[in-house]
Amino acid sequence: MNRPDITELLGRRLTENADRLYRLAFRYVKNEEDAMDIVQDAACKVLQHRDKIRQPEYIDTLLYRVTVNAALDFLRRHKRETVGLPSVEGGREDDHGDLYALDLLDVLDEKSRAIVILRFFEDRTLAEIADIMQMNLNTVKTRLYTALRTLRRELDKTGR
Amino acid sequence: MANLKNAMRKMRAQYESQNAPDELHQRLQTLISENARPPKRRAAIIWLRRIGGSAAAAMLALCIAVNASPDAAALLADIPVLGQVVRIFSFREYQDSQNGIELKLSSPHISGLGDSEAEERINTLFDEYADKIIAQYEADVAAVAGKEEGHISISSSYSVPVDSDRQLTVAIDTTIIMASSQQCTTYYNIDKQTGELVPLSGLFKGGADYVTVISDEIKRQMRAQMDADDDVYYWLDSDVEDWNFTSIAQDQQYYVNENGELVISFDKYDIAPGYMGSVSFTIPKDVLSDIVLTGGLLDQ
Repeated sequence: MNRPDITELLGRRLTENADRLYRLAFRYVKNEEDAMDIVQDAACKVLQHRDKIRQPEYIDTLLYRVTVNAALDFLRRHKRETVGLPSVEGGREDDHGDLYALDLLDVLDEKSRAIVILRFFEDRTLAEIADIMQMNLNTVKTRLYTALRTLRRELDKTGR
Repeated sequence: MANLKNAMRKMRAQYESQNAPDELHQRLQTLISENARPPKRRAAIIWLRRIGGSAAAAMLALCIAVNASPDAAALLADIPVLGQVVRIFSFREYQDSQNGIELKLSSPHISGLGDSEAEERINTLFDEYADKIIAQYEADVAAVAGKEEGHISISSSYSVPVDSDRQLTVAIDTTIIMASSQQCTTYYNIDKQTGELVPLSGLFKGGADYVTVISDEIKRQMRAQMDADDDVYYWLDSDVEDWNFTSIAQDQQYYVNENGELVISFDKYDIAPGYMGSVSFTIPKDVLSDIVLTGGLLDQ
């Protein structure tokens, strides 16, 4: 696939997936500005390295992967600033129905959170998730089941 | 179980109800369109990387403002006076802005090396570099003419990071600002004893595997820095293997600092995410002691 084709394809996939990538980033940073920056960073990185994309059919998983990485990088960089602060969470004004339902995911570690989101909200297969998270399939399965147990326990505890 | 299922359903509805702000869509569109038109815009990033190495036909600058008299130019620019005789001065100043694309360029010449042929060779390199930037600028301007505004700002200037008795290093810094910025620095390391430019390989004994020695040391430093500071991140053991740093180039950008240590430099985005900017690594002398060329720039 030559360069104009891959560029065009990437552009299209980015446009179509912008909402999905944004939601995923938002789950980590919980505010609009940072979530937009993360998606933009991820898009930038993929566009810059598009010559190295060997399998265009995996562009979607690549976009997810780079976005998750960008979000985790972001959290790592800002860890120092947030340690010891009460969790400041914006964006709730956008929520509907059960206002804090999604915050339940915060009990999960960062990688498991992505796995649950990809599996249950984005309907990705376990194999795709393994590719996105760069884990082997069994690790993904184990993490997913552990995460579900954790969520169930949390629900029982809070009676939600 | 019903409890969890119900919670998942609610969470999914809430998750899907959230859409990206219009601003993000706009930002992505800008980014995509900047990348979408090969070779024009994309060239802006690519040509920076090529400029250093390839020797294009040195066209004489015809329609650009050339300061024909070095002395006059030296009066206009701030002139670092080097050592006893070697001087570096602004030989050519170019500033223009058309169709939303802006270029500011200041390109040096060197004088007083004592070897006029060597001097001319080096000055020709500086001129060629400037010519390429200006030619690319004019091509970019022509490419967007009558269609749209370019929103590109290019600046190129020089500095003298090192000037010792033995050695003179001239750095040309070129920055391109589009939606994000690209920066690239080219170092010209001149051995004052010979008047010649010294390539990285010229610091080491013939046949020495300096690439591996230096690359291993850089990887060690990357890991140490990442362990020590969470803010530091390099593409080294990242999961996207294609992007990971494996080795320096044989002609990697470098200079020798005032302490006689080798400094290896990387442009922005080369080995780390953009927020890290351009990065450099100082290679301790003892790492290289076995392979340093006797009498070379590192053997001081």
